[in-house]
Amino acid sequence: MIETVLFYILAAALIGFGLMVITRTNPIASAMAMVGAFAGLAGLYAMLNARFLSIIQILVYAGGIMVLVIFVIMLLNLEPEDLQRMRAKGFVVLLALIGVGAAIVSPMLFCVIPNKDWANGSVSPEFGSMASVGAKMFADHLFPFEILSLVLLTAVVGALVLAKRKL
Amino acid sequence: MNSIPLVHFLYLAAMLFGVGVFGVLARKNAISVLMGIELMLNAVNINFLAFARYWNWNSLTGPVFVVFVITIAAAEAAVALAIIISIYRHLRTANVDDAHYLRG
Amino acid sequence: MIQYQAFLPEIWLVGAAFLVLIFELFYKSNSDRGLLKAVAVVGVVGALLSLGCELGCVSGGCPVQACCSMGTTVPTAFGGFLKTDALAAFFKLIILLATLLTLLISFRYFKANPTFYVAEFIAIILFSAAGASVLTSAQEIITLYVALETLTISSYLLAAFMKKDKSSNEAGMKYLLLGAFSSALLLFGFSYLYGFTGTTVIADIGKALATQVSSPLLTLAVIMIVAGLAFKISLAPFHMWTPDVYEGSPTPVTAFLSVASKTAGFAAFVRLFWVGLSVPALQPTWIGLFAVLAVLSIILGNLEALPQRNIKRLMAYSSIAQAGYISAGFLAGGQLGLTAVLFYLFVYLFANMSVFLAIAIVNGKTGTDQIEDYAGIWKRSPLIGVVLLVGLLSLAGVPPFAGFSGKWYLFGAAISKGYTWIALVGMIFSVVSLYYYLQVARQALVSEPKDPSPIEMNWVERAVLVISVVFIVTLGFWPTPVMQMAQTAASSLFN
Repeated sequence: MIETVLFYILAAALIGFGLMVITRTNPIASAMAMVGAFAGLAGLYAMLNARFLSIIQILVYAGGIMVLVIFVIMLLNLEPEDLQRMRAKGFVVLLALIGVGAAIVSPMLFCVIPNKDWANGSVSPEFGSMASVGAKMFADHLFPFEILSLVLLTAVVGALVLAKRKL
Repeated sequence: MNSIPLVHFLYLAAMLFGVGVFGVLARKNAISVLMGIELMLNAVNINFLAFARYWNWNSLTGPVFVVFVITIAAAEAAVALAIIISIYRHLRTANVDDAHYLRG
Repeated sequence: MIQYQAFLPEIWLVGAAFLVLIFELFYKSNSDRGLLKAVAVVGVVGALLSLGCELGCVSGGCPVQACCSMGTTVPTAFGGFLKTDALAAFFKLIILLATLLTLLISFRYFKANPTFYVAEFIAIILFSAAGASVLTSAQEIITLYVALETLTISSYLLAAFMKKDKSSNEAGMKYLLLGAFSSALLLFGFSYLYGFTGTTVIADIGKALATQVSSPLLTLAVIMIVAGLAFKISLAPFHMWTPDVYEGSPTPVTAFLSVASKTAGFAAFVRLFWVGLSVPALQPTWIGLFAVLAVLSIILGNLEALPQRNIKRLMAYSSIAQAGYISAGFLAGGQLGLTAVLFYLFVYLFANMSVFLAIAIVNGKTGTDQIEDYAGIWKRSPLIGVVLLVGLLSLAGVPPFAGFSGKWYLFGAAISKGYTWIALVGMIFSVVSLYYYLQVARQALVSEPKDPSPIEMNWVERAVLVISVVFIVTLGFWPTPVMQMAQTAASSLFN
């Protein structure tokens, strides 16, 4: 019971913060709402038994990426005026229409997920622990992991070239 | 012990994805567009974790995929911010619409 | 025991990139950096040689038996996540040749822009080539996704690389925002696919879906995957970034995007759709989607190319139309369709790259990409006139050039599977395309030059241009050897 309540609180917080991210005119406010959304996500991941990832979510997303974003917003000194209102109020109407449409259509979408292998409740204690995720990643997915290091190196080299005034 | 159906997580992910798409389409500021994209990627992560947790495989491929998505998102954000800084230096703006040197 | 032959070309590329980055440390800021260029070229040539050796071994025809330690087995690594079969090898061949030509174009570009960051540029080109190359042999979705992002994240950087140039900045930003958006769409599709099958291995996805009845959610996943990847190969209506990015990026980057990126995108399409999703429940859906996208790309690409005054922008719209033609062969599928796709990509490589090399040479002299400044190029450099004529007519599909036989196979495959209307649209709009291609050729060959000074080029560029023209003409008359390679490659998918 308490889990259900917790889920709905977290889900409401997540969607609420998400809406704040895309509607605040002040970029700093958007970014802070984003941090709130990430905290909600970390809670949801913990509810899904993914302990390792819920910590990573806070460390990397809230702690790394968002600090970088806020740093750039402050560096460029983006004023709220820079961030004008939505392109058109019509988008709000559009959003409402999409919401209504999705609410009608999506039950039809989701009820057709085949109900095979439904494991409601049973989860192995190993699931989502740092050891098991690490073992999986370095055993089966070693090669994409190596390629990932190339992505990071490319990003570092390229970002340095582009962002540095003089190199 | 888990009484929340999988479908609720899928709904949540779809809603968050929709919010992200809306952010990308409606915002002018490149940084806000980037944040919309981050929301979309997080919706994807919810999907992966929920599927991995709920189906009987308890497969760890889902969490591993999420690790990869988070890392790529970090690299993408770094590159995006570098490009935004370099464009701001010329145009004194980070608005997507104000950049219009390329027209047919 | 890891069969390192499966990723030997990538080792060459990445190794060369590392060496370039290290050697850069020892250079003074305004030196020539000849060694870096040499290292990069050696890296790509080494990759090509190792690839050729591997191809020879797999087909049993390698003259140097010493390098075939594995006999004719297809090299596989990391639990089957990476398999370099003949299909992957063919795609890699195109990507590596495109990388080599891109490097050549960029050397010309460095001369015109002395403040360019040579080492970083070369390294990122090599990294993205490595990503594209991994993508072609990836048998699993995580590997595929990470390789795709290696390619695209480096492409964003390359597009924005002229950081003092406003249009390059703008190209980079547009490419990044739309590219990241499309990646998120693609991932959302992948997540549903994973949810339905519980695996990320493409062949296992195919097995798991074989018994599945069609469901709206699965259809949604397929639509998102098609849309996400169609962005990357710029199929209409997901093509809006293409003209801006192609015009704003440095010319070598435009050339790289138009050939290597597109080839990698088609490699991902072939693996994902003809292995993973070619199940009765889904096939009609995505084939229908592709039919719409192909026809739209052919129509919009060709029509929007007509009024263009900038040659890079013209080539952007032309590349959208070309992607449409190739998709026609792709959706026909089977041995016939895939062979046609591979053959056409090979022809497209030479035609497009030689035209872009000519554009870079002309830009180095005149500093402009406007079509009216191509007036009388023929008198200033006969070779460039010939290259523009042959390359563009081949892209238009005029006999006797290779583009004609390529389109013949593509549309033939489409007709044999009953998509006559797509082939018909393709043929009609090929005729339309002749108009804008000939506009450029007319400017180059007929008009009088404003400035009659000759355009110089070095012997390597001259040699490459001559070889490309010879290739395009020869392949038009005698496509058999490349067709045979393409057939072997396509059949390796169905074994």
